[in-house]
Amino acid sequence: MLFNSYIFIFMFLPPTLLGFYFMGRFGSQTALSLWLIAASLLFYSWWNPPYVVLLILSVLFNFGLGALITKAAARPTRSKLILTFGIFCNVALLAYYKYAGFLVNIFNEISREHLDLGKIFLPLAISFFTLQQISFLVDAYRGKTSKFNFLSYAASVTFFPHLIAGPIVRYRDLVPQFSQSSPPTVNALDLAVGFTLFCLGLFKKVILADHLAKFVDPVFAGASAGTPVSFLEAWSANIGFFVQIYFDFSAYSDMAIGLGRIFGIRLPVNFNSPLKSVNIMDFWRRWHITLSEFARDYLYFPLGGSRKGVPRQYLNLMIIMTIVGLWHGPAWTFILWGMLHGLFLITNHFWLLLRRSWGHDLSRPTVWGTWLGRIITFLCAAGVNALFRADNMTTAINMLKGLVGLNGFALSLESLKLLGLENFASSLTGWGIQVVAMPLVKGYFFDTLLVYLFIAFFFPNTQEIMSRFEPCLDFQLKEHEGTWPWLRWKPTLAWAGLTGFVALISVMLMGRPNPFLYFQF
Amino acid sequence: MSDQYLKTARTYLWILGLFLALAPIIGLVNYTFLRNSGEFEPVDKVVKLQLQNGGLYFSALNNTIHAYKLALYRAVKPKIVALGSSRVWQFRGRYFTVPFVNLGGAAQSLNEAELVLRKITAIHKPEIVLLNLDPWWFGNFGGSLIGNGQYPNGSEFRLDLLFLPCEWLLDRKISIRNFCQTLAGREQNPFPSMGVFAAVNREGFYQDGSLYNYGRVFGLFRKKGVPKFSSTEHQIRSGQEIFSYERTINPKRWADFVSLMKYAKAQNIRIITFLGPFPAKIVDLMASMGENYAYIDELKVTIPEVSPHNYDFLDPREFGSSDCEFLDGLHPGEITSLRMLRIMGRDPASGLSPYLDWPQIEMTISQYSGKAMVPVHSFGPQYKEIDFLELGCNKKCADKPGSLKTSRRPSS
Repeated sequence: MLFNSYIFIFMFLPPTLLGFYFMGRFGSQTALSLWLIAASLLFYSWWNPPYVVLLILSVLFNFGLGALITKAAARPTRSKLILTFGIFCNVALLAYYKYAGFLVNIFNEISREHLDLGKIFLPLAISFFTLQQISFLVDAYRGKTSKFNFLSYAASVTFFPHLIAGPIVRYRDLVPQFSQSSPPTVNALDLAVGFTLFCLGLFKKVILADHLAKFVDPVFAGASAGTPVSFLEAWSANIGFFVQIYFDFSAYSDMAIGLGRIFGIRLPVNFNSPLKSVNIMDFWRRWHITLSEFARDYLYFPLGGSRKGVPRQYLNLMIIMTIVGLWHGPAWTFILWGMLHGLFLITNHFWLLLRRSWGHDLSRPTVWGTWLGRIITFLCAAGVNALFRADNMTTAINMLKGLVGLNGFALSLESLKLLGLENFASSLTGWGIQVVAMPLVKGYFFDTLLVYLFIAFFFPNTQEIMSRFEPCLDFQLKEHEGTWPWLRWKPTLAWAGLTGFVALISVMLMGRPNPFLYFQF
Repeated sequence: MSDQYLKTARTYLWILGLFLALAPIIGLVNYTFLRNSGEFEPVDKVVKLQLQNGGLYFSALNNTIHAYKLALYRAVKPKIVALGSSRVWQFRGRYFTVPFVNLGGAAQSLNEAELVLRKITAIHKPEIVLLNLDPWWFGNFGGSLIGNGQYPNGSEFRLDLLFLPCEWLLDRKISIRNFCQTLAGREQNPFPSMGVFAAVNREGFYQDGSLYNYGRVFGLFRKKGVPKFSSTEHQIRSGQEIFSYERTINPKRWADFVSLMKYAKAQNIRIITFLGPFPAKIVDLMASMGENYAYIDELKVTIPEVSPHNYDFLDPREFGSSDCEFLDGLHPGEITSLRMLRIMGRDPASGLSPYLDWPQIEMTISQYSGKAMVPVHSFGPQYKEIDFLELGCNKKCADKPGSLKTSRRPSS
C-alpha cells in the first residue's frame, strides 16, 4: 500500500485513525497498541500477506533476545554472546533474502559453477526493520533500554508510517513514546501539523518528483540501450535524478513524519535540505539522516571512529560507506557508489586536516567558500548517482563516460533555446563549437531542472516551514536557515486554504501511483 | 503555544477536510462520466455491439487496443489481417472480398508482432498477414517498445484512473460542454461511439478494426491538430524517440524479425511485409540528415533477404500519393493505404489479388484522390474533408489531377 494511493488515503487511513481515536478515548494503552499493531500488519500484508509472518517472527525473536540481554546485564560475557547471536541471525536473514542471489552469482563467476537458489522474493522493508532491531539489541546490551514491554516494542517496530522506508527509528526514538504513562492520543494540533506535513509530502511526491522522472528516465533508458550519452545529457540526467530522488525520498519522509504526528508520535528527522550541504560530511548529516546516524553509532564508533589515528579513521570511513552502499542493494553499482562516497568523505577529512595545519579558521567560512563548497558537494553527489540509478554496470559506465566527456562535449540545442541563444547555433558551429540536438533530452528538461534546483537550494524545507510546532525529533532550526517568517506554518485560514488546495490537486493528479524510489531498498 | 493554536487548529482541520471531501465527490462525477462514455465496457461486449450496430470505439482510460483487436479477431475469424503499429490503421475491410481485421496498434515492436501472431494463430489461422514494418522497430529505440504482455480489457475499474477526466479537462483534451453532455447521458455524436476518445474526438475503430479520424479530417473536433508536419519534423531534427539517429540495424531487433518470419513460415502463414510511407516532406528531411538514418537504407536491402514478399513504400511519390493524403507526419491516410494495397494486389507473387474488391478500390482511388479519408456510408454523406494539416490542399475536388499516377515498385 503506497502512501500516495487512494486505497491508503481514503480506505486505510480514516478507519485506522478513527479506531485509534476511540481506543485512546475509551480503551487502554494496551488496546491502543494492539490497534496500531493490527493496522500496521494489515498495511504491511497488503503487499504480500505471507511475509507478515516473517515480520512477526522477527519482532518476537528480537524482543525475546532483547529481554534476555537485559536480564543478563550483570553477566557481560553472556549478554555479549546473546547480542552476537542476535546480530548474526538478523544479518543472516537479511543476507538470505537480499544478498543470497548476488553472492551466488559471484560464486558462480569465480568457480564457473551453476549454483541456482531459485527466485527469492525480497520481503518489503526488511532492510529497515532489521537495522531497527539490531539497534535495539545493541542498545539493550549497552543498558539503554529500560522499561519496555512487548506491546510498546512491537507497536514501535511495526508502526506503519516508518515501516516500509523509514525513517529508521531506534529504541530511544519511539518505544518511550509508546510506553509512557499517558499514551499517544488524537489532538487537533497534532492532526493539523501531521496532515499538513502529509499533504506537503504528497505534493512533493506527486507533483514534483514524479514529474521529473519523465525527463530523467529516457536518458537512463537510452544509456541502458547502449546509446552514447553526451556530456550535457549525462549531467542533466544525473542532476535530474539526484533532485528527483531527493524530492521523492524526502517526500516519503515528510509523509511518514506527518502520519506519525497524526497519531501523536514524533519520528526522527530524515532530511534537512541536503542540497544545501557545504561539504560531503555535511551532506551525510543532512541526507538520510537516520541511516547516517545508524552507521555512525553502530558501525563507525564500534570500529574505533577517529580515535585510532588518521589512517584507521579513513579505513573505517571506507568500510562503513561500502556497507551503506551494499545496504541499498545487492549490486556492484551500489557498492561502488558507497565506496566513492567513502572516498569523498576521506578527501573531505583530509582537506580539513590540511586547512587546519595551514592555520585556517574553519569556523568562519566566507560566502564564496560556502557556495563553492556547496556546488562541489552537489556535483560530486549528483555525479556518483549515475551508479545509484543505473540498472547495471554497463549502463553506469556509459553514463560515467558521458559525465567526464568521453562521449563528446557538444552543446545542446535545447540549452541554447533555454538561454534564448538558438539563433547563434550556426555561428557557434562556425567557430568550431558543436551544437547538436540531444535525442534523449525531452522538451523542457533544462527549464524544469532550474526551477527544481531553485526550490532545493533557496526554499526552506518542510521541517523548517513547520518548525514552530516541532514536527519531528532532533530537529533544530539553525538561525540562518529557513527563517522566512511568512513561510513558517501556523494553523491559519490562509494556510488551511493553501494546504487544502495542494492536497486536492495532489490527490486528483495522483493518477497512476509511482512507487517511492526507496521502496526497493 | 499549543493551547494558543488548539482552537484555530480545529478550524484549520475543518477547512482541510472540506477540500479533501471534494475529492470523493469529484471522483463520483468522473465515474459517472466514464461509465456514460462506455469506458467500463469489456472489449468483448464492445465488439459484439459494434458488429451489430457499427459505431466507433476508442478508450481514453486504458490502452485496450491490444485486447480489443484480439476480441475482434476472435469474433470475425478473418482470412486477412493488417498488423503493425498505428501506421497501418487505414487499411479497411471494405476493400476486401473476404473477412478482414485490422490489428494495427496491437504490435509496437517486432517481438510484440510475433506475440500477436502467436496469439491469433492459437485462435484461428489467417491466410495472409499484411505486416507494416516501422523502421524504428529495427533500431535501438525499438527495444524500448517491447510490450510487457499485460493488456487491460477495458472492463476493469481502477481507482487510480478515477481522476483522469480532471487531467483531460485541465489539458483541454475534452471540453466542459462535452463533459457535461456525457455526464447527463446525452449522445453528442451523430453516430454511436464508445470510449471517451471516440465520444469526444470522434475518432475510433470501426467494426473492421481500422481507425476513422472524423474529428480531425472532417473538422468535428474543436481542438486544432498540429499544423503541417511540424511535430514530426521537430522529432527528426532533434533525433528524438522513434526518430533517434541510428546508423546500423540493431542485431537484437534483427533477430526478432528473423524469429517472427520463421514462426510465420512454420505456421504456413503468408506474410507480406512493407515499409510504410512518410509524407514526401518528411522523407526529404530524413534524407537531408546525412548518415543519421543510414539504417533505413540498410533495411531496404536486408529485409527482402528474409521476407520474400516485401514492398518499399517509404516514399509516397513513388506510387502517386501526396502529402495531402496523410493524416500527419507519421500516419498515411486511407487513400495512400489503398494505393499500397493496389500495388501489392497487382503483384501476382503476393497472392492478394483474389481477395481484393478491385472495382471498389479503383473507384475509391479515382474519386478520393488527394484526400485522407473516405467517410463511412452509414454515418451519412454530410461530412466534408477539410485541409486539416493546413498544407493548402484542395480537398473540394473529388479527383485531383495528376494524383492518380501509380508506380508499381515492389522491392522484392
